[in-house]
Amino acid sequence: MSVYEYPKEYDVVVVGGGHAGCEAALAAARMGCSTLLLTINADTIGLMSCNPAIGGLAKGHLVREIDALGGEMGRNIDATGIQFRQLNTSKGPAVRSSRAQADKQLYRLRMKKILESTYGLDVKQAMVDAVFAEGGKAKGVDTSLGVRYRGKTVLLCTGTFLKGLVHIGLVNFPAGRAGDFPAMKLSDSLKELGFSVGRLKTGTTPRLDGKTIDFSRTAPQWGDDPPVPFSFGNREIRRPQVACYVTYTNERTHEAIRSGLSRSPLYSGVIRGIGPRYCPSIEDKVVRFADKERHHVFLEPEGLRTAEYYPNGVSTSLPYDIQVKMLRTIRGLEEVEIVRPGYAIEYDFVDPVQLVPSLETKVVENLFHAGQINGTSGYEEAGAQGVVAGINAARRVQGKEPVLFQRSEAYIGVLIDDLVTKGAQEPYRMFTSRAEYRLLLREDNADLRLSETGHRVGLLAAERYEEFRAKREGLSSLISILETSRVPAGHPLARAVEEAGGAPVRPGTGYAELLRRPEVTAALIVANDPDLARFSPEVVSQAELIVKFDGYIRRQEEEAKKLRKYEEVKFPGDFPFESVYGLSTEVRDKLVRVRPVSIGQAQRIPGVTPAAVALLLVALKKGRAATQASG
Amino acid sequence: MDDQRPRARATKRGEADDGDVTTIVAPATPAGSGAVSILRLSGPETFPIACRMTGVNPSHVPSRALTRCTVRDGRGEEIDSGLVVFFPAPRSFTGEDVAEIHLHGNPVLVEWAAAAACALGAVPAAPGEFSRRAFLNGKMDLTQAEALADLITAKTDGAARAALRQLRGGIREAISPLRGQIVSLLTLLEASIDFSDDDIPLVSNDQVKERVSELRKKTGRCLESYARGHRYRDGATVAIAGVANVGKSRLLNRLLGEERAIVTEIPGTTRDYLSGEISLSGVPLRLVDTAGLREAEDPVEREGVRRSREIIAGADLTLFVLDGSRPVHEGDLEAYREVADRPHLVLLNKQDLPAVEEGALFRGSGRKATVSVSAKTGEGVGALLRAIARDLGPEEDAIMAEAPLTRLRHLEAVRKADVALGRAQEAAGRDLSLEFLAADIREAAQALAELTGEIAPEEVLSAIFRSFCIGK
Repeated sequence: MSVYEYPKEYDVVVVGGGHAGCEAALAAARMGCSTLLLTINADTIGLMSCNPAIGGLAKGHLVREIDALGGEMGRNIDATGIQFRQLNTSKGPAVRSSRAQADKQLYRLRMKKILESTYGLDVKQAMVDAVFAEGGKAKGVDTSLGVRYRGKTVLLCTGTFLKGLVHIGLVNFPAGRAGDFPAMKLSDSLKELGFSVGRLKTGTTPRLDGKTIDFSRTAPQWGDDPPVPFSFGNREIRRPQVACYVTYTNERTHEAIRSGLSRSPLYSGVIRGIGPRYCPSIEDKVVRFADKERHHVFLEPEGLRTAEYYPNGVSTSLPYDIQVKMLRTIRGLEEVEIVRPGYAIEYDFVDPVQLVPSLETKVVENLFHAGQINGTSGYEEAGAQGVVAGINAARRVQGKEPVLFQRSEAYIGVLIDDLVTKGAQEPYRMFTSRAEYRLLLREDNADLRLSETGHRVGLLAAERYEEFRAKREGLSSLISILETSRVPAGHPLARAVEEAGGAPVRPGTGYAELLRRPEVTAALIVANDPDLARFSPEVVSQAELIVKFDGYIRRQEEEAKKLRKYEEVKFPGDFPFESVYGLSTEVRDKLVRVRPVSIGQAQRIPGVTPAAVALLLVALKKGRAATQASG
Repeated sequence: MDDQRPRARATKRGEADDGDVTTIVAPATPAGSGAVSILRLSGPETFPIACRMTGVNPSHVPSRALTRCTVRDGRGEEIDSGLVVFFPAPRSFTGEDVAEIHLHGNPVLVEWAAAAACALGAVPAAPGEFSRRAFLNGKMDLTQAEALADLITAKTDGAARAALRQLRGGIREAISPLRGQIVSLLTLLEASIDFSDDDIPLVSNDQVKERVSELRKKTGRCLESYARGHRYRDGATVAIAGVANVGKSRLLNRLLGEERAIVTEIPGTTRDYLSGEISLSGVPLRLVDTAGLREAEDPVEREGVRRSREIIAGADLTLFVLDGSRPVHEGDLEAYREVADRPHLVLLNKQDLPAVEEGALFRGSGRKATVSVSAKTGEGVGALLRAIARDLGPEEDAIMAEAPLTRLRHLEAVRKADVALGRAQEAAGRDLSLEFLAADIREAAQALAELTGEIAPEEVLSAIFRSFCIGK
């Protein structure tokens, strides 16, 4: 087939229009790069292939971080969300997370419109068959129509589309997602370029017809009132909010499931890709936790203009007849009709140890991977990688150093470090327990952690940056007031504290000292000191955290600082891990596979011992000396 | 010139901000051998700590020169007389502020001084940590780097490695119940935090309290085992004490099987102390003969007596020797008071001569039976060794018997874990949210990482996925 070379060369070519691809393309274009986004189906840009929700535990943090950098996900869900909730509010300030139900169609349409209205960003429908590379550098992509789009950088955000294979019972068929073409050739092109490619599995629930659900037999669950937005740039949510509904499986459901196991692709060995342990199918839950009498099912609306419901909790790849039988045993779903069956999907991924922390591949220069191709799962994980890959592709075009994120700085840093250091053995999802400096990585301070970077790279909008600076200044002045002010004798604050059930306040007691008492809130102090009325509630509650949990926060900061030194000891790009003197074969193999960029990263590779790290330090030092000696 | 010196401190503080923030301490000389032991400190707090311990202000004395000093612990208790030398950053081995304190070659003194430095804020150095800092600060040249590489290789390839692994393995095994409990508690906490929207049992504050207090019992027992455990590495010191001419030096010779001490009939022959090492049931024993405990006129001998007291104070066991061929006299009783409060055994020596004293004076009131020996003929020495072994050997305590905490670093690790658990207890008491309890428990786990291996997030998550039905 003769190749038509498209006349325009782009700075950045993004393959895929999902949550990673959208963020990547927007970031690159907003940073001034001419950007092309290619998608198999232009109607599915920003589509939520699985549950119609954004955020959740640890995922809400990622959304806030994307937003703090200048990404789109937070604003998009704020504009299209139909139920907002703060999760884990009683578990502590840093593990509190936001989650929102989205109107799935509105979400996708708004995202598409944002892409279309972004200057320098072209969206085209095309099936990419191969990465075009010369001399170890990516130079563009070739499509199934024989078109070559040239790009200085190429970003692959292919989701589940690489050799996607959908399973429903023992029936299976190639598809990128139920109803979409798969990309059958691209992963072969990656293998030819030298990548090692693996196979993962994920799944989704059936979608139900709402008019056949008896909601009176379920328990409604409402969101927070007022709803709290994700984006630091938004103050309120105006869209009317709706309810979700809770129901449960029962012994009859489990019986129905067991009757179909012999025709389950999971249990009959048809599926070989590895699925996520944290998101098991209902058949998996019933088999592995046979003692559990019931599992909960959340009925989540797919949108305001559709009757479809997403039954969260019953992801399945059982045969269609079993899906019908099983669902109709559930209270409220006795007469339910399935609109679309649940299914499992296997797809190719490219082990992320083949990436450096900028998300550029080690094998092919100027090629970046983001999202499920890296073995992750989740819109938020994908979006976070998309922003980073988009920023770093743009930086490459601009001839600038990549932007990297520390584990102590952002969940984004934890995510990427885990991927490039440990690889993906199963679809990777973020959990707060993955972050060792969890108290530092809060939703409330994502802007303090990242907005300076978002501004520096030219991604965060100017007005957002100004708002951020004002907030940061307000916070530091409030904290210094709290640290230096004392309660004068007869001050109304003293009485207010006592009335709130606190011990008597001696005159001269510091505000900060008072605030560290469990029964005293910053709001109480602010309400009783007119000088503090000018601070926004957001700033007040953040100052409260910082002062109240000062000891804990400071300890983690100290720890983070200690470890940062190791991150700063870098290996040169051509460091010969193969020939480091004294390493065991096992450790050497691990180092060669990951090729860590710093001593810090080397230390985190499972199996790399402190003695091995000492040897690496010696080798580094010797290398430096040798370089110096040779000039 | 001298007035410029304090500036070194000022610049060093700045460097510490982005460098290693801890001050480390470790003996720079091998344990138990040599006439002099050197304790080395490095890091931002080195000078204040060394100044506290030696009374020597680094800005008042020349750098890189030895200064005489009295070494004391943080409470002012005298440890030894010695020498101190300061190396201000960056002209030091590690490139940080470094101080070396020279003590007499006695492992007990070194351990005591190291513990004192820790009490003042230093932390025990990890193996190779001085060298590591030297690398990071660009202070080590190529030859030294190679030497270190060789050392590490020798340790990983040679017989030393086997011993090390055994030791490590033993400790890991002993700590593993503790580790297991920490992982399971973390699992509960993390499941409650990360999967609170799943239908799983949530952990209550009271459960956490109960579990943490169980954990603290374990750390407490580990800490107790240290006193015994460290003997396996550094050996135990056994002092031989008593008034002059009861046969202490001869006893030392007998136990060592060699003519180490000069044996004469003249009281006060041993003016300084002499020592030798034997191995008893796997515990290296350092036997130290002391000068006779008596009020002496001769200044040299008086110094000897002072040193004897010091040795007895630091010894794991003192053999208090009586001359069984003569009645006990006032001098014996006076000398006995020096050892009565310390772990000791009473020996009736000179059994080869007609016995006069049966040691009745030292029996009863819960005191251990006396041991009869003849240093001259060797009679009773077997029984004596068994008695020593009984006193210093492993306890029936499982933790102790399997793997005592033998190193100061192990002790510090467990102590840090204990402190973090204490904070968790306090946090639970104050009803702080789970996240803070989890932070403390994690810190405890982190402190133990060196003994037990890291507790990786993946391990906790796996435990959660195994134990609970996760996922909607």
